[in-house]
Amino acid sequence: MEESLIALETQKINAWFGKDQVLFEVSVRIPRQRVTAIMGPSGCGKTTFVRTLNGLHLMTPGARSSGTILLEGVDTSTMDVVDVRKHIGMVFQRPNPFPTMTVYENVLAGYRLTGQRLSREQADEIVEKTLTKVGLWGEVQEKLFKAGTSLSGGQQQRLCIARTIAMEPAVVLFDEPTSALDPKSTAIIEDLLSTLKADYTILFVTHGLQQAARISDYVAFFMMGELVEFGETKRVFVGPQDKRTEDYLSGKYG
Amino acid sequence: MAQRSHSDRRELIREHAFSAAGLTAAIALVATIVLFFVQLFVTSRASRTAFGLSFLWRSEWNPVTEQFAALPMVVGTLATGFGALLISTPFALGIAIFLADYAGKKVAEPIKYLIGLLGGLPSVIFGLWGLFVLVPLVSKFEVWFGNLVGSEALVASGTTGVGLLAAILLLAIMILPFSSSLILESLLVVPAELKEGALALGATKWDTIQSIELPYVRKSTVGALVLSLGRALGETMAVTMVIGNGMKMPRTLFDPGNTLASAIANQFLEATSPLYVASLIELALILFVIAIIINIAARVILRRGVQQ
Amino acid sequence: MTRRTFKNNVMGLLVAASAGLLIAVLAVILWHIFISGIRYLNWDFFTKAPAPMGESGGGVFNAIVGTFLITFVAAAIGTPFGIFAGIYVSEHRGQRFADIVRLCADALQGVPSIVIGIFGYTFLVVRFRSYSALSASIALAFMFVPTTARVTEEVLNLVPSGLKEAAYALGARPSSVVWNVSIKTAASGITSGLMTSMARVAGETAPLLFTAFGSRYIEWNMLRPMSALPLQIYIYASSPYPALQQQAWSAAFVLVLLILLLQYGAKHLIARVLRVKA
Repeated sequence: MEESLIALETQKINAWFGKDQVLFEVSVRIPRQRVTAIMGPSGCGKTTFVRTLNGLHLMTPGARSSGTILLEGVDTSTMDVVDVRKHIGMVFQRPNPFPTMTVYENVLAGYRLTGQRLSREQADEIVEKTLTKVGLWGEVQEKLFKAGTSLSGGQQQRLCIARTIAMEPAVVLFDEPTSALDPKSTAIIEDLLSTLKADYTILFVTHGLQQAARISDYVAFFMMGELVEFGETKRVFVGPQDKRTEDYLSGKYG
Repeated sequence: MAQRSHSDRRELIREHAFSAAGLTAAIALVATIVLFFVQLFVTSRASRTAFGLSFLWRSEWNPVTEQFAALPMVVGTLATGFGALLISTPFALGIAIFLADYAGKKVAEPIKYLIGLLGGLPSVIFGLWGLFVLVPLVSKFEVWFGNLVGSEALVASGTTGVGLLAAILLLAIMILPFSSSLILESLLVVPAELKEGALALGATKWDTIQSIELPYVRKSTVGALVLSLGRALGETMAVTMVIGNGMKMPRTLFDPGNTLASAIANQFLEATSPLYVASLIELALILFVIAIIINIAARVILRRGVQQ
Repeated sequence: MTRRTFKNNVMGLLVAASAGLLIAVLAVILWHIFISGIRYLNWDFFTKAPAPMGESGGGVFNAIVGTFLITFVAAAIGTPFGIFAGIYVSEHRGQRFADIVRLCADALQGVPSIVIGIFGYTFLVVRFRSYSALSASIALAFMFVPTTARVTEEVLNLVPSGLKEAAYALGARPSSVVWNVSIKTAASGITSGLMTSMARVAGETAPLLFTAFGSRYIEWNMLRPMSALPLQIYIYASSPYPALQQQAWSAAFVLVLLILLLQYGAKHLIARVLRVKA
């Protein structure tokens, strides 16, 4: 792969919670404007891995990590963590719109929380553009000034995606964003990914093999805190090179 | 994009101001305790030089001869505090168990509301009620009891109703909402599986309470009671209004007496000489130290109770 | 009936009886305050200062004014300290110093009110060379801070960590997360905590005895001695005159109403306002 096609690269990431090491020497190069699925059995470190990327794992008391993360070739440890997070957005497992904000305010939450002022016109434009992008504009146009939490679960999750991409990040991390949703809402979000990857580099944590196969261009397979295999999705699913991947794909780990 | 974006200076200043404010407030809170101690210690110096440690165990408190010692008040404080705890604990346990295991939501919620109401009434209101309602009743009881045992001394020692007994009864009522809601809190965290397990084995409700719940909350109940004791020991206005401002060592529960708190409230404005003032401040110092120790001990016990 | 089921029934009765007793005691106390309090209430009682010695009539307007002024100034002084200390402990959860701060807040809540009064006298009144309402407010602020700090901390801890993470993930700094997410989400809990602290402080007598001292006049100047309802109740109740004792009951009635208003009325009002906004 050519350098210019790499959006994000990690070199020998280790992570610990207290004395327990949960990530071991994870080195991976994430291609630009593609969906990369991060998969593996539960407890394999996939969520921790994406949280190290935007420094959110440090929110857990006793957590620490080592290694290098290169965002567009720049070592993120030389950057203000706040700037890192502006470039690497994140969508969480459970929809979590801010309960004190309206739908409209939720879309602009990132600007407000980082103290960036917007004119009325700019704000209106961002809200409409972003909600349209996540396919929510038509559904919530009449509810813009109702509480964000008044929407359905699937709509809330798309609102959270809107909130994230409103900040125009380069990379968006999805941490099992459909695991709390019904199949229909899940399908809508999966469809959304194919349009979003035109603009963003996407990392999508999932423990569902089917889902990884459906949505991703590349897949990184984790087990026991190690990156076991990385490659194009088709290639990995058809001809895994590592025995452990093969076993997992054939259902030996349940 | 790949270069480090220029951080807004104002944003960083606000960030520093924010953490500084938090740290300042936190330090101020800790410093308050030190400040209280130092202030009381320094201003009670006259009394400490005059009486030394014997202030703690001598029993003469006489403003006329300027002899001051804390023992009568210490005794009064302990007698009323433990007396109140002794009387109110069975009821507090009963109320907490009733609310946790017997009352349905429809009954328990209003009662909890009432407990909050009773606990929120100001001390001076209890004092007012104690003075005009409880004290006359205690007085009647004293006359009746004196005649019953035929004790001239008892009758003579005072049938006005004011005194340690009235203070104990009033305190018992006052700490009841506090102790019962603390005990209730710990009862509510007993895992339902434990209770259901016992019930499934054919235990009666009371068997379950006795053999599962109460042992489970033993530590936190002790913590709750120690906290309540702390409350009772420091309770001021209500006690001041019904205890009778007696300066001598009380001999019976019918005697007028004083607690550390009530002695200060009753006498501070009358204290004219510097030594008298300093002695009253030393009483406050003793009370402060006792309160801090008891509260910290109770919190430690409560925390262990929760962890276990 | 076996011995065990007999015991079961008896104990059931006993615990129910203790709850019944509690309700009875509360009912008796409230009944006395209501009956004795309402008997001497009239318009003058709310609008006039105490009558000169030896004259009948008069009211406790001076004390009502004093209670409001002293309580609000105490809250104004104590709130920022309490809230920031609460934020500090909540944000540094699990750290040693935060634990110490929490323990100190707990310990301070247990400091007897008379000790606060004596402290106020030696620390403030002696320094200012005068009894004053302001020294009373400062003394009460020492009671206000630890309760506010604990309530703030507890309510902040209830804010789902997912919300804070979401804000951090958007690039927010800690102060922004605390103000725009945590405090806003916990606003109703914090305000109701503040109201409860105010209600508690409004009923305190002992810290005022040697600071506000009391006054027979309607006083608005915080640097002068001032009356307050609890103080007036204490002074009237301890007086030998039945007329004043009767006024003590009425003042008690007013104080209880005021406290209930602060504690429950304001709480519901605020809850409604916040809900409408959300």
